[in-house]
Amino acid sequence: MSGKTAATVSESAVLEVLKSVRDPDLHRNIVELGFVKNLAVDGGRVRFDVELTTPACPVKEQLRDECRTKVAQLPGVSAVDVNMTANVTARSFSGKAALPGVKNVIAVASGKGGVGKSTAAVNLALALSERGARAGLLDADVYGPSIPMMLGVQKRPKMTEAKKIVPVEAHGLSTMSMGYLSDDNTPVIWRGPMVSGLIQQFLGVVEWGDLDYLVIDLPPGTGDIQLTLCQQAPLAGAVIVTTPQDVSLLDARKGLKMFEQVNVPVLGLIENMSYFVCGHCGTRTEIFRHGGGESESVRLGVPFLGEIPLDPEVVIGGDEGQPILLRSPKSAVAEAYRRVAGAMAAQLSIANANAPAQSNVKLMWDPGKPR
Amino acid sequence: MKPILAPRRLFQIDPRTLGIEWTDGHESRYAVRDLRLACPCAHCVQEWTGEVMVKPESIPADVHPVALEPVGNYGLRVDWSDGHDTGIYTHERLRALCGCADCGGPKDPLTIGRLGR
Repeated sequence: MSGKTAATVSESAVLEVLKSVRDPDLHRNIVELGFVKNLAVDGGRVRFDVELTTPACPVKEQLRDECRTKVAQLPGVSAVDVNMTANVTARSFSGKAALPGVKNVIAVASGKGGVGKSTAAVNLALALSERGARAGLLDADVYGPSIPMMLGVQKRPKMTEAKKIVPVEAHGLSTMSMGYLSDDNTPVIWRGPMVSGLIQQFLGVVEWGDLDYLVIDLPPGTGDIQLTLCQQAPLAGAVIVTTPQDVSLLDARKGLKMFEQVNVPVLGLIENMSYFVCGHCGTRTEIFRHGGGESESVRLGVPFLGEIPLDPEVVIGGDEGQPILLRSPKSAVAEAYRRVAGAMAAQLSIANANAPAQSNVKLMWDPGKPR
Repeated sequence: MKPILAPRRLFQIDPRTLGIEWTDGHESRYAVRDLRLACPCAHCVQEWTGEVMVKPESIPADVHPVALEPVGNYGLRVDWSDGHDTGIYTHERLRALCGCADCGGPKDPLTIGRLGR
């Protein structure tokens, strides 16, 4: 048959060839997953949307290229227009609808303090937002709230008529922190039950609106607040930040066990302060040893989301209210955060796809119900 | 990631029987008074020794849930008709209490102790 014969392109032929494109994380083809939307064929021109489960998808470009190449090979196709979109999947959780409108709540945890958990929470939220997701950040570290300083905002949140707290907008994120409500010099000295109550307020009384991801910066450790959050918040998943040395990893292990006990999927481990690259000679120094996070992930059977190098710019940015993603967007650290955020979003999509539909309704007992 | 075992559906079979359909497809039935006796809360099970402190004779014969609601991703809280509402039944504990033949037959709620707590 001559190539000039005007073969008509059918929608079904396009769908058939797209069935050979697989999502590498969900291990199914994109047609079966329902990602292909708005398919239109006009003569030899084919256009369609590919709706992914997260705008932070790490393989977005790879998928686009594969779709375009495969469809272009069909006889009769003269042009292919692939539009990549995203509709973040929500975790259908069991429990109270504490956060209506929030699709996924992700906890950023660490077994011990000082590993850069808050910095990670801020930059991960920014990386998700940068890719087009609606992201929020809740600073649950009520004793030592550091998010206001890191974001460079210090203002009191407004109240709505309905006595709801409006989150403070900062760098495109909806944010809330105890630090907005108290001044820097007065430490918060509260007992456990009061703190638990406050967390409930932050979850229930703050008008978060529609968010794809709400990142919660947990206080370090595996205590009361963490447990309350796991009980109250519909957590879609948790990530654990660690440094490469053994003492930190030991505590990360405890964090992992805590989440497992309350059935919160651990999306993975992030190794912070992995190495330092000298600005003068370019030598890479592994200050806290290297590779501990990755080998621990393998041992614990959770994904390794990536390593973040040490960079003094991160500290300066944090102190001056300019997170590294905004201060040095092209730096190795910023790139590392983007990769980790992508991997985290991908793991969340996997967890959501695999999560069985759970009961989320209260059962009211009818004592008079006939047998 | 280990698969989450959780109730997919809670349903009332009759005034004395609760049904749970699990995410793995298993279906359990519970005599509600036995569930009350198996309350895992700190008043009902001694924190350190695991000794069951519930006195069966003090629990009304017709005790029944008023409402059941999920807690986080891991458990159920039950408001009981006798006013007791402090127990969080973990999914693990509930599944262990399943008395069907596949799960090893009926369980004694008074010997289950701290299991799954």
